[in-house]
Amino acid sequence: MSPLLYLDTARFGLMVPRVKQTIATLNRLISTEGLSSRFETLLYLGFQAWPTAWQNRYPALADWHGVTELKTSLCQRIDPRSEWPVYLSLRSANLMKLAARLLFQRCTKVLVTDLEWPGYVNILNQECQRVRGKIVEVRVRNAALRGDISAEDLCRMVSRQYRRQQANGLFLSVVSHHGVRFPVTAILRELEGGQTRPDFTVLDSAQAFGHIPHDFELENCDLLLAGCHKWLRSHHPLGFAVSIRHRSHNFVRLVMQNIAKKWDADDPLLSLTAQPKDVSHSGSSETIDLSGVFCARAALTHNTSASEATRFGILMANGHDLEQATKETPWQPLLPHPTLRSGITLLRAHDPTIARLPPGFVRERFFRHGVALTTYDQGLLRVSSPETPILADESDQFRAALTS
Amino acid sequence: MSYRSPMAIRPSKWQRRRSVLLSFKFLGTSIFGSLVMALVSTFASLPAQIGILGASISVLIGLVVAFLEQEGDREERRTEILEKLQIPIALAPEGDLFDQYSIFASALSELAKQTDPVLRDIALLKLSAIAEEMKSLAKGQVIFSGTESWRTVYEEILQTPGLRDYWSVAWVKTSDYWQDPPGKQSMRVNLDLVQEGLRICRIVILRDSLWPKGEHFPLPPIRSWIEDQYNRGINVSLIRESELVPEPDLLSDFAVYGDRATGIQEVDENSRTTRFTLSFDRQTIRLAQNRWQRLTLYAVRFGDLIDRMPPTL
Repeated sequence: MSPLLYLDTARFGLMVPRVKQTIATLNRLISTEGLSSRFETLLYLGFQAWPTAWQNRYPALADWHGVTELKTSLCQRIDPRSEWPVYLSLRSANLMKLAARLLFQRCTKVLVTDLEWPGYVNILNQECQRVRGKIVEVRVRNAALRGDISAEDLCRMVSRQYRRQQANGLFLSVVSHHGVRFPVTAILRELEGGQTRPDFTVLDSAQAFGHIPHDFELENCDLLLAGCHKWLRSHHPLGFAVSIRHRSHNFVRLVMQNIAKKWDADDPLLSLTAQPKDVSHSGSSETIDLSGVFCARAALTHNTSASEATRFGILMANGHDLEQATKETPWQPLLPHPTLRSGITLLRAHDPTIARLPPGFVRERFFRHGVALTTYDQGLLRVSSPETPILADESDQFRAALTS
Repeated sequence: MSYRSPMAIRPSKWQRRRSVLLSFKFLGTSIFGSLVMALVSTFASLPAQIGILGASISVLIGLVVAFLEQEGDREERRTEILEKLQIPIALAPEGDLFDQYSIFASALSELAKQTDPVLRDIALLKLSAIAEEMKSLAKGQVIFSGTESWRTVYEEILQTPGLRDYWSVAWVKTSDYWQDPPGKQSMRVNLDLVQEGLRICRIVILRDSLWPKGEHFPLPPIRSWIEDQYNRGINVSLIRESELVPEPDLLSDFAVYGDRATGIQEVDENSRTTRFTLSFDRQTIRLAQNRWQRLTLYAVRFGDLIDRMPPTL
């Protein structure tokens, strides 16, 4: 039987080998040491602080240099020259709650598009109702997925609605869960040049981090949300928020600390990392699952082997191969304009009979043919390009699954 | 089918009254007048008859005119009395106000029994002051003079359910502004309410000595007072006082509480409140909102100042 062709990274990335080694070694350490002071030395000060004998015993933990270094590495993956404050969380939803709180403390009307992740929009709606704010939704999905609009058009549509609706806050995905890559630099520049500039801007980079090169300008972004368990493929969920714009550093920190205090039981990692540097070494009052932070660090090391641009080039080439494989099958790719494309492609069923099938059933059928991908209602498939070049037999395997 | 109720069919007290033509006063006066005129026409000459007839008619017209004038005065007095009676009727559903009205009314009745002229003079003086204050309240205006007690009402308004936006203009002349215990307490309320979801926008007008030209930020300690507010979620913007020279009417310390009320604070040179006027009048609120909009044209967002901060060595 052929190995599984994994095309579901947009939902959950396959664990990279380096993470596999790290997690196995970490489990070995914890099973013998528990949370001893030796483990705490490793956690706070890093592998280098250990005696050589211990380093030799657990060599796969060599990537770990402490929580502070992890935050710096995450931040520098986005911009190598930056030293922005980073907050870690066991659950990305908690960071979104924070983002919603920040947005509606500064803004009365927040603009979103219909391409945002519905779970995040729900959180935004809840906060909006709590403070009686307003959310303005710009409908761009259909036009973007049909390929009717370019990045320039999308920028124009968003900024026009922003001005018309007199919004003063912004929440945008860098890459939507449908695979539309937003021209965030152009949008933010356009809005910052206008009369009513955003009082607070949040970018959702959950589908972008580890996927597309972060070569876009971030100077006008206040907070960027991302995670390590999708395209970075760290396996254990770990969300993080980067406070980018200088003016918002203290604002974000104070709100984060307030929220972290209230959510102690819910997200002890957030509580731990929201503390000032000198306090964070003093230990946490609650047991935290730290696998996520160790895995994230190992995944970051794994991903340094090639530049982001090179890896994105491979993703796009693979995407093209997968599109080609759909020819003469009952599935048709929904291709956005080339300026909006990413490593995620949506496929739609031609055949109404297939379109009516339950998503779980379709997913299972593809799995039986050795392909893992995301399925939605109304005959929609989401295909995430793999990061290694697709082989000819993999293309055939995908085509066979589509045809079946 | 008849729409007339049985009450309408029954003759009223007035309808059942006997006709004026059958009254003794009318019949007696008419018979007496007719007899006099009969004697005149029998015994007097024609010119004398015409003269007497003319005089009688003139007297009659004079009586009618005088009667109408008296009736007019009487009607006016009657209306005044009725209007006064209407006040307690209008107040009756407003239980709390009616209680106060009753207390005032009975106190005034008691006061009317006092005959000492000195007491009455003092009472009238005090009453006229109370009346002025009442008139101001009726216009939707509350004035607090020389006291910080206005902050209690201010905090109550800010905590009103449904209030979404609070715009505040702080005209800061000294670094003591809102640094006394009542001021700090009000700021704590502001910061707590931001956490609850109230959106606070504050424009700080700074005297040039507190934000000299050429300085990127205001001088400490005002800078940290502003910075703290900004970092805790208040949208702060700044204006140098000298920039408002062309529009002196914008130099004011005021606030707009949604579309509910507006307040004007007057402070002395030591930043102590000398007077605080709270107004619930729609027109005054609109004027304050308009003044706020004009101020935003001069204001620089504090966040922009942070972003444009020159690099430190």
